[in-house]
Amino acid sequence: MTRRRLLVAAITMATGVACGVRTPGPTDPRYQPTANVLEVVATLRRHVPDDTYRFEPARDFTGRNVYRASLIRLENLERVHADALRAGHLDDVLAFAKARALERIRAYDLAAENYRRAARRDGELQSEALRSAALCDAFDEAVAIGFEADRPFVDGQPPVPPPADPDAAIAAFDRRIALLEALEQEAGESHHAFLAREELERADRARARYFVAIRKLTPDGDVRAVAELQRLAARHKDSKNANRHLLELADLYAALTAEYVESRPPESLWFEPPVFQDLVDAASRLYEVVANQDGTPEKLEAARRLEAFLALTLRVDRDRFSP
Amino acid sequence: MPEPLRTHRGVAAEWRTLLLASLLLVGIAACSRGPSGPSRDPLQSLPMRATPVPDEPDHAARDLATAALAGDPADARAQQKQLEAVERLHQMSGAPPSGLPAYGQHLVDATIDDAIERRRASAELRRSGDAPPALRRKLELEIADDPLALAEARISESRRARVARAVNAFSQALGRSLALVALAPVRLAQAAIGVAVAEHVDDPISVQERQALAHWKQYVETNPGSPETPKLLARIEKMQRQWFHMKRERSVRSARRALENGQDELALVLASKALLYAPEDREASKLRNEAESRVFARRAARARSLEAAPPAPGDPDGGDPLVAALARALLDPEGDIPGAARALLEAGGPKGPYADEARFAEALAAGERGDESQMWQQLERLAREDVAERNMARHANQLVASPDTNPYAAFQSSRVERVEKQAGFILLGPLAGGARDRDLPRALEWLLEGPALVGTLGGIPSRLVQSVTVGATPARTPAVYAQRYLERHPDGEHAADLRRWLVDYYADAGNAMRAFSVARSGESVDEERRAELERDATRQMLESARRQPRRDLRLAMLGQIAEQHADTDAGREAATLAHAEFEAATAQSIRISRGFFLENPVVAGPAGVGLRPELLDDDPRNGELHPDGVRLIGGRLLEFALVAPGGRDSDPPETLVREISEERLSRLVALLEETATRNALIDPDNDLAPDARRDHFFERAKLGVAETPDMRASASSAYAFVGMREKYGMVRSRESILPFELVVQGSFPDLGFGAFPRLRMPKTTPDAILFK
Repeated sequence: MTRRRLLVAAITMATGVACGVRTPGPTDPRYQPTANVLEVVATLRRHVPDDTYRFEPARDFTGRNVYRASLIRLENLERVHADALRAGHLDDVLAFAKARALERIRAYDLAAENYRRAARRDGELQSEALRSAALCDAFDEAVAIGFEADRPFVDGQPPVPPPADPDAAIAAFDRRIALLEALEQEAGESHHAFLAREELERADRARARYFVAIRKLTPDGDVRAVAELQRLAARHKDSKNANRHLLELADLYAALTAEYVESRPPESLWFEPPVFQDLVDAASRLYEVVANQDGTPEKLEAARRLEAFLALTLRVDRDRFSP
Repeated sequence: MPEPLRTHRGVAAEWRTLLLASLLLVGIAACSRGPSGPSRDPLQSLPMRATPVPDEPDHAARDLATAALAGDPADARAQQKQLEAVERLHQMSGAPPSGLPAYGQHLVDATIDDAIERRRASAELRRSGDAPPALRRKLELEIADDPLALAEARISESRRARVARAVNAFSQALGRSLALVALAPVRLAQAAIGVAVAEHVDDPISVQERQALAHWKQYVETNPGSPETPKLLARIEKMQRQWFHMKRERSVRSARRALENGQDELALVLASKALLYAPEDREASKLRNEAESRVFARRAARARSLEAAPPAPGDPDGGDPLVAALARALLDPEGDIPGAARALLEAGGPKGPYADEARFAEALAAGERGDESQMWQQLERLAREDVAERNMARHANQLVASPDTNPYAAFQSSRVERVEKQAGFILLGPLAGGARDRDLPRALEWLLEGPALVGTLGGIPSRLVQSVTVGATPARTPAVYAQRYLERHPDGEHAADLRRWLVDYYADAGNAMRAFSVARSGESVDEERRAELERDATRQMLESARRQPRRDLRLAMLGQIAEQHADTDAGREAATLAHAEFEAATAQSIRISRGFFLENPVVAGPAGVGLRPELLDDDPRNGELHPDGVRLIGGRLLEFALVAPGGRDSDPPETLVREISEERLSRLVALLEETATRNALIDPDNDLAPDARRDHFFERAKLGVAETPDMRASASSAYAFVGMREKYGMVRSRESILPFELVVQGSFPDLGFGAFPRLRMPKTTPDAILFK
């Protein structure tokens, strides 16, 4: 290196330092890209038998849902290693692994398609792929039954209107539940049984939410909505969402309390302290139950909501109610 | 003649004999019921009252009320003058004072629109001394409800709190040095530092000052034309600036702390929040930029981990049949994972490109075989390896470190952590977690702890004794992980140990019900211990059932205990209690004690329930009301508790149920409510606690529709109107009127002893919670 070049390099470095230019630090090796298919498959395999009905789905080292992360990694591997994979020696593995990930994130149609792709190749995965494809097709069919207000729109299709008649809604939900219960039986000991339970819970929740949504349209709507949410909480006590169901029920009681105060102001003659007291008791008892669950995020949520709910009761004269 | 006379006399004698015999019989009959025994009816007849004729003061009061309601203040004032004149004449004629003029004046004052003037008028009426106690108290409350006075009171409290804090710190330092004067300089220095730090950490605007700000704003809004308003606006503006400054300070402080703790997202939110209050703030901007760059860097790194590494020159996925075989074995529910993993490991060697994948797979296979320990050992080994070289190390580390996937390790480490914390507390006391956060440079914070260090170290023996005698706080975190393990692996390798640990933990924590529930979830707890736990649990359930105020819930709990634990003593007791409660159940159970009747005779008298006066005259010979008093048991039924003949107050009462008229019931509940409300107004300790079900019953009674009782258990109220003596005893403790209290203080840690005066800190108002 000539003296002049050295000088230029020194000036450049000095300028960089003077200007406070920071070079990016070394990247944490933990976050290096996925090395190979086996890495993803091994991680996914660890979580395939997980009971995602009772427990939260696992998270990978980046904090992402392990099934979604695995799916993205597999797709990226397919793209980056397209040439190496062109021989097709891992086609069944990739399709099968993607299907396992897809079914856990409720993309049953795509999962079935991938299972069928995996089954095209003779081998040890074929029979399981065919069985799983059939189950995913059935799941896909089942989850489309019944009205769900928060079901994602499908491009090009008009949104499904809610059923006008609650009996028709119940009949549809019953059909869906019957199909899912049959699927749970069919799944036996496999992880598909957990998926069936999750879907059963979702169906029960959709049914309860339907009645919560229409509660103002029928004379006994509030009572029915409360009963439906109680049914949901009672049927899914073992679910990972059990606390959430209780919170939802508590929220409904809290909403009913607020509505009661709005419609029958505490200073009016229509305000009945025992009715108000019963609503407050029900909501606060449920919030307290959840707020006492150590080690759950809902604990914080319930404690704060209880505090907010009790603040509402400050509007009522102290001689008529005291929290 | 004598004959007729005799005859006449004889007839008279016969009559006399008959009369005597009758009297004797009547006497015997009377004696057989006891000498002058109590009447069986505890109620006296309602007095027949003639319709009262309104007198002159009544008419004058009517005219005044009409004028006030018609919204004519001038006419109201004139009518008040008329009322006062009529009242004077009325009293001159020998009639007792009607008490109406004071209330009339209050009504006239109420017609004044200007709040300030109205309060002045109320103050004048109060000063006049004409107002009866209940009205006087009402006037006091009205006078006190002055936004300006309230604001000044809060400002003064804020100042007093700061002064009291400083004075108390020095007073305590001096007082505690009485025994050891040599330590006085050190303690005074500590006090000075403490006061300086407290001043530094204090918010720029206190809660009381914020309350004052709210009062000023209210005043300005309601009295825009008041002469005080311009001055107040300047004060409001100044304090509002301080308030924003405080919000900025708090957000910056929290953002700084979050950044130090690696909570970058939180720091970003907090720094952005600080910028909302102070848009140009340099420190907040710096914190925000730092947090933002860290968040972006982490997001980029996480995104990178989803990408696929470019194919290596050796073509890793390019057709190694052993790799494909292991992948298939992993995906196949019946796959031979150990065989495929071993083959791959043997082919590539322990340093081969897929060695860590193969080892990871082997560990999974061990876990699925039920060999938990081996799985975690293998995964821990892999997790410890260099993540730059072994890509599976990050996945193994995630499994090992996550309390969800590895609750047993989390259980163990949380127990170790707890022991460490306990040891740290014994050794360093309050400094176990480092120097206290005082929003100062860390070195300075440690320096400030210097003087306390000697005392802290000297306190080791006392903390040791304390930890042995009092015991440690319950280990909640390990319990959560133990519970989580049992949920996931009820038959796992460690399930029996953890179940036993949890049973002991809950039993020690006094939660017998939970301990029993854990014990019966597995076989690891022996029969004898389980029976003992069941006994304790049912006893605890019975106690909580007894404490349950709602009858419906109480009965459900008792029924459950009786049904599910029929073989235990508590189960049998629950059955007996439930049966007794069913037998004695009444629609309502609102009680008025004898003490209440004695303190409020108007409720007992003919204007209220109309009790016979002899029942409250303390003479047991003519019958006496039991201390339990009278219960309203639903509908128009009253249950009277009477002292049993020849009995004492402490003996069980003799009860008598009597149906009363609609009129008497409505009058009783109206008077009860009125009396209790007036008592609460005069004496804040004599509060009428809210009870929705009582109020509901009273409303129905007043409307005359209580005839049909509401038989639902949830409609029942068990409210009791009791006298102040029953509540507080003969002498009620009163708060001292002195502005300070004398404190005698001993301290185990440094074996110190001292006595010193301490200024009372001002109490926070009930609405202070809305300003925190």
